[in-house]
Amino acid sequence: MPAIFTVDPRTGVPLYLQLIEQVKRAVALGSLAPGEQLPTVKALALSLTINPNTVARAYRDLERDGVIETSPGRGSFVRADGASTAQSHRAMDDVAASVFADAAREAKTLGLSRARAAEIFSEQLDRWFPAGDDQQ
Amino acid sequence: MNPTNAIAIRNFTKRYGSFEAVSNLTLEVEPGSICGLLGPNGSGKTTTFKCLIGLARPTAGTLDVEGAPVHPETFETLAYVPERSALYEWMTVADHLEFNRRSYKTFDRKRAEELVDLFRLERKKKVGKLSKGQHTAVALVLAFSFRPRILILDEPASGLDPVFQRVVLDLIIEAASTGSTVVFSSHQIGQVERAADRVAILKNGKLIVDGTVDTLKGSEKIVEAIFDQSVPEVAGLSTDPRVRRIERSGRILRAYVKEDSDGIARRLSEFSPKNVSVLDLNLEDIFINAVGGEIPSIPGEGS
Amino acid sequence: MNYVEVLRLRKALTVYAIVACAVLLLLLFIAHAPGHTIIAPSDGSHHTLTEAHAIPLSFLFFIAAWCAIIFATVVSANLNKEYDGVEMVWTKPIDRGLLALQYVLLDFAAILVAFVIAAGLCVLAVASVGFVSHIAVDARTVPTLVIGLGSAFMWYGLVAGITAGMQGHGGIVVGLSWAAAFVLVSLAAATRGGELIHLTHTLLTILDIFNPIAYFSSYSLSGFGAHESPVLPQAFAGTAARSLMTWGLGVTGCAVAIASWKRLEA
Repeated sequence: MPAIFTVDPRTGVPLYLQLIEQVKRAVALGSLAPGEQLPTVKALALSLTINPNTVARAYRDLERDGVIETSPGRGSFVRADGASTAQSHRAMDDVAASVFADAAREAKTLGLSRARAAEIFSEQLDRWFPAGDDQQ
Repeated sequence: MNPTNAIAIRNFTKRYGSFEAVSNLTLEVEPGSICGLLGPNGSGKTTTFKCLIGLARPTAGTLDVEGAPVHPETFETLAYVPERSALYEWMTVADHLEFNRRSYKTFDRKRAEELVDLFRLERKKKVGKLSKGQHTAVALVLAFSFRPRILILDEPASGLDPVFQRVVLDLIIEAASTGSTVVFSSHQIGQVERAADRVAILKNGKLIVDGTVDTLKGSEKIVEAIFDQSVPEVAGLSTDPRVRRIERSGRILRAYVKEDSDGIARRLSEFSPKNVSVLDLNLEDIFINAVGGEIPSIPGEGS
Repeated sequence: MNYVEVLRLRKALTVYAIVACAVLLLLLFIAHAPGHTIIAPSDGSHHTLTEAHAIPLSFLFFIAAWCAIIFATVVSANLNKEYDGVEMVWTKPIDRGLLALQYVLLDFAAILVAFVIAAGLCVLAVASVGFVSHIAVDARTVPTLVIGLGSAFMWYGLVAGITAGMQGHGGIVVGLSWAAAFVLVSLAAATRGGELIHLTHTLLTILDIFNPIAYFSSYSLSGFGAHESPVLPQAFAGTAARSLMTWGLGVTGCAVAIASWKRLEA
């Protein structure tokens, strides 16, 4: 399969949620193309060495969220319309918000002022988003 | 729960003389699922397995497989891998395979050969000359070679190196994905975390934790509060039924919570801490908390 | 599902056959040594191989039966031995009692095979000195066969009955049974006669009811006569009684073995 998924059971985050995020991330970044087939529940469970019901649950939720569609007998596919991509980008926004929330809280715990925190954050943005590198 | 669950243990108690090995255990396993049984040594896991498959008789309660206590026909589709090796030291690997071939109608010779190669076993070798891990491997080959519907595995990774431990996990997952029910006990909590739908934790013969891995991770948390000065006395916290135990260290209070972490967080906020956060736990942490808290310290290192 | 027992018996019979052949070769070597060799049945009369007397088949059966008895005691604790592997055999699709019965039947068949091997080797021994035509069948042949095999089966049954329900240590019981058997008959025979120790003798003869050797003792060229046995109560001394008791106790022992193996807990 083209996209590589990994899950980490050592964190407290349920595996099915990790898997859902991984799929949405892959769709948002384009490593899973619209209309592309996902591995079967059994194949993915074996390759990740996780419980098949975990994979099944992730796929069900992904379908409910409109990212993938499943036809019995044929398998699970990324939705070919724009809905999957839109959903996935929304999900990435959520992930980013969560990461930034952690960072903000940490900054506060470290005793930084708001202005100083914003300064440091801006430096990091400059580092990772060089001027002229305009993504969508 | 479903009346004809794959495995239904109800109010099971086993006493050896005056010693109660298992007390009033109730546990159900749905068909096609994987259940991990965890617990310290001597917590009653092996006793439960033995009574489930009829090697020993319960003192009280019932243990049913597919709706009825185990009887000879059940073993057409039930495989058991015991904790200690029950193989015949004087027989070869091939002899054991032949024994299985004659015992089961559904014995799959091709599958057996695949598994023997997978575990790199020598067919002509006497079992007495095999290592501990290879004993386990032979037992696993025998168990998986007739495609059973139900697998009861007591420490199936015992003695195996990490590569083969992964192989065992793959076998379990593959079995479940074809509809088989697997109950296995393990000290490799990371493996149980990956592979199991449900987890049951035993301590001193009693069931102290029972739930799906996701539910447990959702409810078992650490609520950590950092204070400006030393940690205040929080009345009633250690006896709160939602709390497993408390740790105090300098200005930090940690409450290991089994449920309602938000409620506990709010309670701690009443004491004006600098910061309150709720931390996730993985299954290993949950297990250690549930069975008694701290890791015992080595004598001589000071308290 | 009894495949393990089949393999076990195959091994035991192989070892037994090799030992028996080795003993035979040794005896033949002695027999062909210059000078006389003596066969000495227990009634004290002597025969030498160079004399052209009839060789009763019952005597060959007597020897073969002793060999069968030895083999029978070796395999009598097989159900007990199986305790180490019960996680294997008790998790198979077969009723436990039925499996135990299969083990008993297989063991019995093996005991018969052991007897046949020994009898065959005896005939070979006789043939090697050219006296096959002297082998004679008489009134003692069948009783010796019946009671000899009966003693073997009885010993098997008694030990199995005692050890099947035990969790190991069957070998100790087998060893003790040999000691007990010989001590009992020796003491019983020694305390015979004399009023002072008559009571002791009576008690010992009653104990001997459960001793396989007691039934097979006092074989003589005149057979297991209806006259009394030095070690058994008089009522049990006749041929019919001996046959009944040995086979009967053997069956009872096996029944107890099967029942207690079923009830065992791992």
